[in-house]
Amino acid sequence: MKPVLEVKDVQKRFGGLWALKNISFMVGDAEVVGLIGPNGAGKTTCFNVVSGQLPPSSGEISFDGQSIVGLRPNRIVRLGLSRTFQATSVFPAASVLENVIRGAITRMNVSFLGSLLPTPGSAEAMERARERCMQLLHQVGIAHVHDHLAGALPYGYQRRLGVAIALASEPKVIMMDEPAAGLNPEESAAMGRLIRQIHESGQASVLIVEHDMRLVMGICDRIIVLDHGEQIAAGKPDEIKSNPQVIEAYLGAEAVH
Amino acid sequence: MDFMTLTVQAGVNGLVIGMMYMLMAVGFTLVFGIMRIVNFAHGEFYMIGSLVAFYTFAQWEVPFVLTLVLAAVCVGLIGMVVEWLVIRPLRSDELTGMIATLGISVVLQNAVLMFFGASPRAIPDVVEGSLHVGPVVFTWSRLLVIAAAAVIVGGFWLFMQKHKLGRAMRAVAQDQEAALIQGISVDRIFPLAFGISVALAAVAGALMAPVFAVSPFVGTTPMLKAFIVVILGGLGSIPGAILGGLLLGLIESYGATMLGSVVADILQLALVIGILLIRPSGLLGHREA
Amino acid sequence: MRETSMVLDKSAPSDPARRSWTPLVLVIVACGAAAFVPSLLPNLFYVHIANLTLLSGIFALSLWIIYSVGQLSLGHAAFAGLGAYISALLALRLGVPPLLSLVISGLATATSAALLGAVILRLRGVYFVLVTFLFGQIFTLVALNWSDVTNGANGLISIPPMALFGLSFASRSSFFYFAFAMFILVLLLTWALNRSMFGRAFHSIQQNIDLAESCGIDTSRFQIVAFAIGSGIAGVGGAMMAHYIRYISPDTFTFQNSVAFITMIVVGGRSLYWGALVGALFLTPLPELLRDFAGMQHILYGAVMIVVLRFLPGGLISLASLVKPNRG
Repeated sequence: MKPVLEVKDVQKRFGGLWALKNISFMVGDAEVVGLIGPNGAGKTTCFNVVSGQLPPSSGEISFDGQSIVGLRPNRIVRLGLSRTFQATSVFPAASVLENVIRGAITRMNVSFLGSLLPTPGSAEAMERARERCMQLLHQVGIAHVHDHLAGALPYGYQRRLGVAIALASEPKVIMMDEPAAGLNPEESAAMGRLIRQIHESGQASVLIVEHDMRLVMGICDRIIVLDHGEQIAAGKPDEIKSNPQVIEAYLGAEAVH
Repeated sequence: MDFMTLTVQAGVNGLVIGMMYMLMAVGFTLVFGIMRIVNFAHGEFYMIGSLVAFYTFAQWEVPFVLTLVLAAVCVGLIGMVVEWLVIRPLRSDELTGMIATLGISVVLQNAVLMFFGASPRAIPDVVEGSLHVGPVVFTWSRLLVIAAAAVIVGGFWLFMQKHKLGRAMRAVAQDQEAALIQGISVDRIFPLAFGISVALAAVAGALMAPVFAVSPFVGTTPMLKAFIVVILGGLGSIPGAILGGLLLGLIESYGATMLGSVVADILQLALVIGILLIRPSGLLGHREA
Repeated sequence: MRETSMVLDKSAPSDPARRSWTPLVLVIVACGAAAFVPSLLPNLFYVHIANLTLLSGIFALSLWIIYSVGQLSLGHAAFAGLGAYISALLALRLGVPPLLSLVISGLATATSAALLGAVILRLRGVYFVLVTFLFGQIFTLVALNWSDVTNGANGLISIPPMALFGLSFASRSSFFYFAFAMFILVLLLTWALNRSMFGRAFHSIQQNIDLAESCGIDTSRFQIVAFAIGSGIAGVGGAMMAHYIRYISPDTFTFQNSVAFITMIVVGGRSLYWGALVGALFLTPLPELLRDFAGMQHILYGAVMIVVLRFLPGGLISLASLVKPNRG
């Protein structure tokens, strides 16, 4: 399989503390990969390092064969690696459709200066973008509320909108930060189906960072397990399930709680 | 005057203003750390403190210690009312809270301007005479400012470390959610923090009233300096404010002696912008995620 | 910041997706009406107030542009002052024609804002505000003390009046037409920016900067662009002021003025650029009419601002949507 996203020996240190030690994994052309671990394992740090929010202390991250270390998040998104946020993250004062259009801003064929003076060409490009964004809203199942204010949507819908915004930038890989957090079992299952569908339709590969083991086991092709900033296992869900180190890490974490 | 005398003299002057900056900055940074509000009215509370000194000490000849207490209590109460009336309903977002304090500042300053007038009025020194150590002369009044400020900041520090409420404040500053879970009531802590913060500013104003004259505009410079100090020391950091205040006072005093005060002032501002660029969170501040 | 914006924009019905041409029509109507303003006003004092209001409108609109990327500048008056000094000095020392000096000062101000912005816009929120505040202080200090150039506290006098192709705008009435034209120009620019992709990017940044960055929007670049445009326009406004009043000093452009501009956009309504206009229109004449009560005007500014923040967070323009519920 051709790797699209490749993370090699990435380390991250905060002060004297290692938040990440020697993390290496890759996400291939068409797969769903899960990054799991108990609380405080370094999942979110890892996510932020890969998406450009935080610079790694050392190591190499490449996307499509090009190094993305040191690039600002907006550049990384333009290369085709987009992300969703853990909490609800929408543009609250804009309509749902406008939210998705903003996600598509880098893929629209409209020049910024040109848009100051409206031309038929830019209007047409705008119309095309609008149509494509409506399709995305259909895909995530919230097209019927496209003209509502995003800030007024129920929580579950905002999470779906977050996915649509991330898809609008036409990513090759979409990274999801705890997509099921705060969702009830039903919504969570629907989110799982949506993720599978994104992958199966060939739209994008998916990298999920998730605390909830069940969701990850159900939908991922491969799983990487972190504990205390270290990568303790990687493999197919079945292998992970029976890996004693993983069980220990999770049980240990549970015991603490 | 020889070099040695000049150096010591500038050092004492630097300590005096440094102590004032420290009192200002500690309160300013306290409110920011706990409430996430930049209080643009902080200087006005300093000004009201010096006004209290003008009336109680210079006019009614109340003992100076009592003047300091009165300034702290009056302004502290005013601060709590302001917090309750204006800031509490508006603190939900950073910019709005900040704009509200701009409004408070304008109202307070001009209200004082209306009944006090614009012209500065002097008030007498608290203690006369001076201390001679070899060729160097220390006026007692300046030494008093240093001592009093040191005692007050020391007391404040102890309060924050040892007292239940002080510890609660530090808890809120560190992690509001966690503090809420521990049962600390933000609605009690915020007015208290704001009151203490502006009371410290008022004490600074009262202490400095004999050094500078009293007018509606005396709060502007101390507030500006408090900004600079907290940027130097890191917004929200109390040790940063204490250290930064002293440091700025000394830098300023020596800078003014060597370069003239205007150049020193401009350099100071440029220095702060420079430091922000290299270490956006200040010299002792924590990095905000 | 995220929750912040939700609160801020609760009243925002604006959706750049729904682009209306109504403002353009209103502008044309306003232009027609403006022709008669100077002759209709009872005396020159009122014309003067009308001129100041137009200038305030320019300052408030330009500050709003900066606000629309989620930043607050407390150095807005300082940028106006920078433009004023540059234009006045060019005209006085080098005999540059006022219109040209106006353009130069606008560009110079925008450039210095871009330079400052490139350095400070990495600082989010509070730090940015503090640095703009410090910039304002530096400006005042330099203007006061660089006497060889700025003439210190005495300021610059006998600044030549505005002139355009031999047409002089020296009198209050004639300046009105110039100020009005410039005001409309700024208004159109704001309108065009707001409905363009720039507006889309700006609003994205204001509402949720992290998400905007993840949408591929270069948030720092757009913040610098907005800061430079806004400050550049302020510089032009300051230069206009210099050629109108024909006297400037460090006192003409103080921190108080910066606060006044902020008051305008808050009182008018922060969510839309119309708010800035309404604020300028409402607040500029007020203190002039209250001139007899010294000090009262500033108290009024502060009090009105607090009351509006407290009881009408969407500003005066939100009154309109109370009357006529928005379709969105």
